[in-house]
Amino acid sequence: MIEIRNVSKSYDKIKAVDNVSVSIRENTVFGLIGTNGAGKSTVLRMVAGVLEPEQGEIAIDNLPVFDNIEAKKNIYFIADEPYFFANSNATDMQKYLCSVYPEFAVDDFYNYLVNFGLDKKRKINTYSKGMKKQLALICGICSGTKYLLCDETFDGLDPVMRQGIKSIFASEMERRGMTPIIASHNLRELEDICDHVGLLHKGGVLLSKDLEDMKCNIQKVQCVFKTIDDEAKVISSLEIMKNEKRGSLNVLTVRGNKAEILAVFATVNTIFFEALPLSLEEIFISETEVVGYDVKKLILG
Amino acid sequence: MMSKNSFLVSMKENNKRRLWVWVVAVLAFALLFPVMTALMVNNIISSTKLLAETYEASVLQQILHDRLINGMKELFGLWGYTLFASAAIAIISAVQGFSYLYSRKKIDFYMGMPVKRKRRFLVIWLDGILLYILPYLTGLLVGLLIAAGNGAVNGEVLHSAGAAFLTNVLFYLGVYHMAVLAVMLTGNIVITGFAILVFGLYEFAVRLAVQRYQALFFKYFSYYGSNNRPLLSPFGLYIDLVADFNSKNTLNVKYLAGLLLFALAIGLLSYFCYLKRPAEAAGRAMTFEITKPFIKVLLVVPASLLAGLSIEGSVNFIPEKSMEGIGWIIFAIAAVLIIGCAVIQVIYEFDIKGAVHRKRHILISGVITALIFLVFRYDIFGYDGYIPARDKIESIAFVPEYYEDPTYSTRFDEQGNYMSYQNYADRYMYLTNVADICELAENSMEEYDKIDRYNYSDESKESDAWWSYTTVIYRLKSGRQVSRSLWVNVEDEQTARLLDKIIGSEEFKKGYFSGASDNIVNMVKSDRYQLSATFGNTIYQEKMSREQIEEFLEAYRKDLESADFSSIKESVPVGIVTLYFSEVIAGSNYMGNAGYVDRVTRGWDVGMNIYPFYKESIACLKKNGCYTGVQLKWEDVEKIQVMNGNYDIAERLQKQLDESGDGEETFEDPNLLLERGATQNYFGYDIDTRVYEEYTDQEKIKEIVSAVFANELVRQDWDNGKALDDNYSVIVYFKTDSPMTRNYGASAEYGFLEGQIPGFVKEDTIYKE
Repeated sequence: MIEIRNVSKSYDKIKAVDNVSVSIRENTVFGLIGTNGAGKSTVLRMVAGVLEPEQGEIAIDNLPVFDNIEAKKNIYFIADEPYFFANSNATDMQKYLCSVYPEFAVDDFYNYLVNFGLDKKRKINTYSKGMKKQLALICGICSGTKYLLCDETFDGLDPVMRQGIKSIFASEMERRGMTPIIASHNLRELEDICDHVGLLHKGGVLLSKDLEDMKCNIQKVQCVFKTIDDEAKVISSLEIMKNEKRGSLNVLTVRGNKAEILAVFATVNTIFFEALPLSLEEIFISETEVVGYDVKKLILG
Repeated sequence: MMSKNSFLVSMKENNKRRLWVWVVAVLAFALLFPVMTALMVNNIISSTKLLAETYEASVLQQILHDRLINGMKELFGLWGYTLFASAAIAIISAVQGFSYLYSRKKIDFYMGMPVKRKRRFLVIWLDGILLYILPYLTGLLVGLLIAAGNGAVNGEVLHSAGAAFLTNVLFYLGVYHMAVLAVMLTGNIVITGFAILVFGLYEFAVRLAVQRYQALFFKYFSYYGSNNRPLLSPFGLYIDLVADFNSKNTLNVKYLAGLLLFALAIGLLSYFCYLKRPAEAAGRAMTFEITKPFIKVLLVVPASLLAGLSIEGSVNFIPEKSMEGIGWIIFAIAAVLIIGCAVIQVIYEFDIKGAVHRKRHILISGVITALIFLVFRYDIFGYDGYIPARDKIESIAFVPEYYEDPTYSTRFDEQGNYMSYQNYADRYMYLTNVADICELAENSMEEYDKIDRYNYSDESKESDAWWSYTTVIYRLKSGRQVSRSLWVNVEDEQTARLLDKIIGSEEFKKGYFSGASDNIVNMVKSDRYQLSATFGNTIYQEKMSREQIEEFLEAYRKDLESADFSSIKESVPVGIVTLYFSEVIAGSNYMGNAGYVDRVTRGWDVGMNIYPFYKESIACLKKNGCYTGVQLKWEDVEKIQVMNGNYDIAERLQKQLDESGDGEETFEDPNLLLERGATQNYFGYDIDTRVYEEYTDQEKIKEIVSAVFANELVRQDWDNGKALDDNYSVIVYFKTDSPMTRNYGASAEYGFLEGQIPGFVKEDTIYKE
């Protein structure tokens, strides 16, 4: 488990991360979401032990991470711009990583290279941006570490490749309990991969929840009430997070579990009623609007 | 068995990233040792072959051997190219090794790895040392093998190579750590380059500024003891060590320890900075915010002070004369101060707008600069008039440069290394009559402060004062040494009385006169040196043998005991004993601290005035048949030409001419006047007052002969003693059948002592208006 407790970090006089506390459970895919400058990379760099927090603590499996080799053995950090040695090829990288990570899976590494169509002898500086990201991911996966920190790593990967990586993640999670932590500014990229999501904004955590919990706790309903009294009764009985009215059609986002909400609607007369599925984006919009943020501006730009 | 993550594996992996640095180091030492050895051996062999017709085979073989050994000692020893290569590799290695700290990408990669920061430092640091030592040793070994194959290696060469290796490694460590520290304190390579430059030059610049300001504002400042060479720099320590090694042929532990301590201190400091360095410093100008204002002020203050000095000559700023031009000095200081602060702030921020930020730094730098300037301007610490308290002085060296030195003798130590007057006195003169010297210094400074050297008046011109320059080195009981210049009026009675005691002392003679030195006695006794010796007035000369010189030196020392300032000042030498020692050196034509020498010899010359009251010396010379006894033999003379310049008359007439208004021409270029046919004498007067007279009459020749002295024998010296009359020039033409024509030449230059011109000569050569 990675525990981030009251962590703050400033660059010169600019507060990049302000009193952030998040817990990342093992064997889940944790998505760290936020706009550019929200502090995602800073949090990941601190978790990777690259940066030292000014305040607070970061512990990897109860070990402080900064300059702690035992904690770092459990982490592989893929930066937003992964670094490869000058004039090196994939084999050179593998040799170096083998000297640093004793559990490095050499056979898997070369298998993945073949599967991803990457030439092990080709100089990495001739790779495309996407290929470099693939190689960085392969290095990270094969390092054998428990935690894989990916900073904007899925940007630039085509959908097929993303799918491939996701399936590798799934198998590694199942096989050895790998825990990927993925930072991204793009909600839609993480929707089908994350189990738990933390939303960062202006250096602080807006929320950190399991996706399933969020999905179960928010419902979206569209209906046409027969009378104004019916509408008033429902609104007063439920925790309405959002109510969009288009003529007589009400689109309600309601906090609560589905059964309870349906029970309330059963007590009033409706001309039309339908429960709609919620996207991750909509869940976030609803959650963050509650705390006064327009998440469309935050996440979707 | 080596574990996968062992230290050696880390070093190996690190070295893979540094291959090009290895290549540079290997190439450098391949060029410096094996290639240079082959070239030098080849050059020495071929150049020595040219001597085949001059020397016998056995001698030639010895010359070749000597040259090869000397060449190899120099090549494998401490020399400039190795210094340059060591410094260059140290800087490249440090910057390349730790350059990952400049890049966020690299920092994310390396610091994300499960490797302790301490270990990463150690791996890079150690590789940086190995990539110097291994190519050095390999190159040295191959070079030595090539040299050995040509018979050019012996114990001396190995000793020289070993000493150089040890010194170079310590020097390398010093520069390497300095460059590592520069990397740790900065965030990008350009600023690191500046930082290395600053580290290398800063102390020198500060010392230079202090020295130049002292020289500018303090009239008693002495350059002796004021050293520009940085002490806190591997370069300064290296230069000192090499100078010392070249003179003593052994490594001085003091300098080695200095180099080691410097390397250790800077190494620890750089390691501390490495541990404290935040990862986010990558790409910034400076790593630690807190250092920025200090560094700015520390750079700008000496830079602005030096800027003031740089224009001091062009605005003719002479504080002793007047404060004219000080406005320009202050302007230059202020301009560099403001521009310097602005430029550094721009570098800090990587933004031109930074030029107008942090204006308070300009104010702080300005205040500090002004304070320093005022310290010199008003001599706040009383430097100029400082004479140490008598009871705190252990001994003193009093150095009247060029005093009583007819041939500007070489001064040298036991090994024959050349020394300046001050160095020689510093080493050998330990005057204990502290009170006399302090009294002389006090009186002289008091009197000298009263005169206005830059505004001559007729009154000052007519003064009898004769100010002579000397250096006084006070050795304090605390171990400190203080050097000051001193101007003494040798015509002052009290000064003369004190000078009699100082110059008359045994300690002075031992530490000033080359002829009184034990070194010269040892040289005379040694077969190692060839010696040619003469006694004469530079025209009439008698040769002396080694044994005669040995005997003479004993007599000379006894005579010297009775000599003092006044007795020498009032006398005219009867002749000069000149010694010239030489040593044959095969091989190199440069002997380090021993100076430049010609291809086969180096030499030392010593001249000693012999005064009429040097009874023992004269008796010794007479006994050995070396005493010429005369300035000129009338029997050798064919004719004498006397020229009287009549310069007093010329000056008076010129003055009249100028006052009458016709003197405008004096402002014209004298060469133009000459081109227009005007007759001038060589002092630039419009009227030529020179009068020539030739004497062939034997009686007149006899009278002139008894009154003349060889030009080179009588020199107006530091003591303002007896001098030849400037107005008269006497050219003596020898008879064609005279031995002088064969031995010396057809003519010789003589002069009359002031006030001792024969009456008929005066009459014959006076200018008639």
